[in-house]
Amino acid sequence: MIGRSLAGALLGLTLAIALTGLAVLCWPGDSVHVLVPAVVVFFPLYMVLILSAFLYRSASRAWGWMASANLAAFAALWIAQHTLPGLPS
Amino acid sequence: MRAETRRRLTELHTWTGLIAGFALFIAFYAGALSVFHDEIDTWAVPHPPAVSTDLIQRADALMAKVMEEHPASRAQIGMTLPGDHPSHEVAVYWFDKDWHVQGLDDAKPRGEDDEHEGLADFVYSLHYTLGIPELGIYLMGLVSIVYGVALLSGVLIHLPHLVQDLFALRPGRNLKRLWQDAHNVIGILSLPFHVIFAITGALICLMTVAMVAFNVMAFDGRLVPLEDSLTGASPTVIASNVPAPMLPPHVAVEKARAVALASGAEGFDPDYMRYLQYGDRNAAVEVRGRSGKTLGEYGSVALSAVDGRVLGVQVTGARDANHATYAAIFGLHFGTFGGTAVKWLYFLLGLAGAFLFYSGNLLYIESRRKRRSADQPLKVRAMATATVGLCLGSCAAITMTFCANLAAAAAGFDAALIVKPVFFITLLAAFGWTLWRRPARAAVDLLLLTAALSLGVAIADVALHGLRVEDGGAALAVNITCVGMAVGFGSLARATARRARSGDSNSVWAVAG
Repeated sequence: MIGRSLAGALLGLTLAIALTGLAVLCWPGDSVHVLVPAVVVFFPLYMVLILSAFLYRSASRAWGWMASANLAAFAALWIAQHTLPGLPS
Repeated sequence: MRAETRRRLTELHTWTGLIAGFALFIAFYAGALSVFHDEIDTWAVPHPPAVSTDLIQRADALMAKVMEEHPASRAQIGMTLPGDHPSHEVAVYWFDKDWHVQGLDDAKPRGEDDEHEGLADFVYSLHYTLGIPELGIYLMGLVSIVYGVALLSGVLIHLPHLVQDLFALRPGRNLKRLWQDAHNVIGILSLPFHVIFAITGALICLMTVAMVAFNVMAFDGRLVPLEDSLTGASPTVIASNVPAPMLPPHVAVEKARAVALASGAEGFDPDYMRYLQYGDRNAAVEVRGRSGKTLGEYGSVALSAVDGRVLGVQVTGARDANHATYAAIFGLHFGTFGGTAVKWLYFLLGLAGAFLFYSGNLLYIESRRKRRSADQPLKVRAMATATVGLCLGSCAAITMTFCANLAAAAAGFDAALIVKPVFFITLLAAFGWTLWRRPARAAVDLLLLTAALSLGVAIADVALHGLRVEDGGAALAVNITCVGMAVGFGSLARATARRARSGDSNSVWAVAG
């Protein structure tokens, strides 16, 4: 239980941030206009990801899958940051 | 779902419920009462000082004095506008490395967290900080996230028989099943309400923290500079260092109101205004106010502080997704989108939520009960003690703060100095009493105490101050509700006492011999 909780609480947090961040950057309109809705979506997404750590067959699978998802999400986020207009500076 | 996954989710539901349940009980009970914050405030201050008509002029003078003494405050200085409940304070707020506040009657500024709360404000802040200064709000944010996980796991466990559970309440010899049914029915029927609270609770407590995390991890440091413009109406103001005369507050407020109404808002009741870069040719003035007939009542209008030119309008009917969402978070959490009926609905659902967490603890106890022995395992006894001492103890303690407030007001003493200590001393005493008397007896005692205090405070208030039908009968309604709560707690006490006497004796809820 501790292993899964940690996987959910830590990797779920970073994954939720990366996924909502990615959605904001990829938003077809102006990204600035969906910032608050994105933060609102972040919280339930984080809760779902914490729960998802308890659906894998074992704690190590939870760590493995969630770490891979993090890698993929942050790679996509990095690409989005360097190719899309993003937020005004 | 595989049996093993389901078992794991059940375990998750149990543990998240245990971790968050106590804090959530207090948050929901105090939160339910806080739906009627203004009414409780009217009740708590029976002889409000006469409201002078020159409040805004005095605040104007105070603002000038603050800017004289603290030139850095010119970058951002604001004031709360006169409100309609007695302990509402007209005060000047400014940012100078940290937030500072000075009320009209204060001799010198104080820090924003320097609490001096009357009864209504104390119960309100108890619900999102548990009375813990500084860190309490973040703690409650984390509790909200755990609460969300508990909700999700609970729904998943019951998903296969959600519909059957909804219509099942089986009273009878099997007590565990009765509590399980009650827990499920209330959980499922009030699920939309709980989803709203898990999300908006986490948001309100942790929004700034989340913004900082997003700023660093996803937006390359570009989010925080935008934060003000996501919630307020003013664009970023850059000082030109050319001085200019400013519109005085009352003129700016009236102008902003006219702009909001012209933009289609259903009413605009200003409650806060602030200047950005006061005294500068580029200065802006932003007025926040409440409108009706909308999910999110808060909106704001930004004007040039020099000539009143409109710089930004974010009021109902004329706002973008950020501002509409931001206002909706608060509207949904505070139940301000409807009238009195919605407030009562929120009150009842809040109490039902407190019951949901209480019944979760009872289920924990019931499902680990030794059926063939009067002695119960330590974890069952500890859980029963904590549940009675903290949950019922906080009900008694909150009612005690109402009594303390009444006594203080009658003695001409400042109630704001005593409500918080009275709450914690009563809670501590209730917990000690539960340890000493054991949960079965202590539960009856605390429920009876709460009922007696609740009835007593209503009678004493009527005896001291009369029926108090003025102000739309707010204080009278609080007294009537106190009597209703007394009846409720009284019948719970009776049921608990009956169970202790004649229920199954192999339980923590039985009184031995």
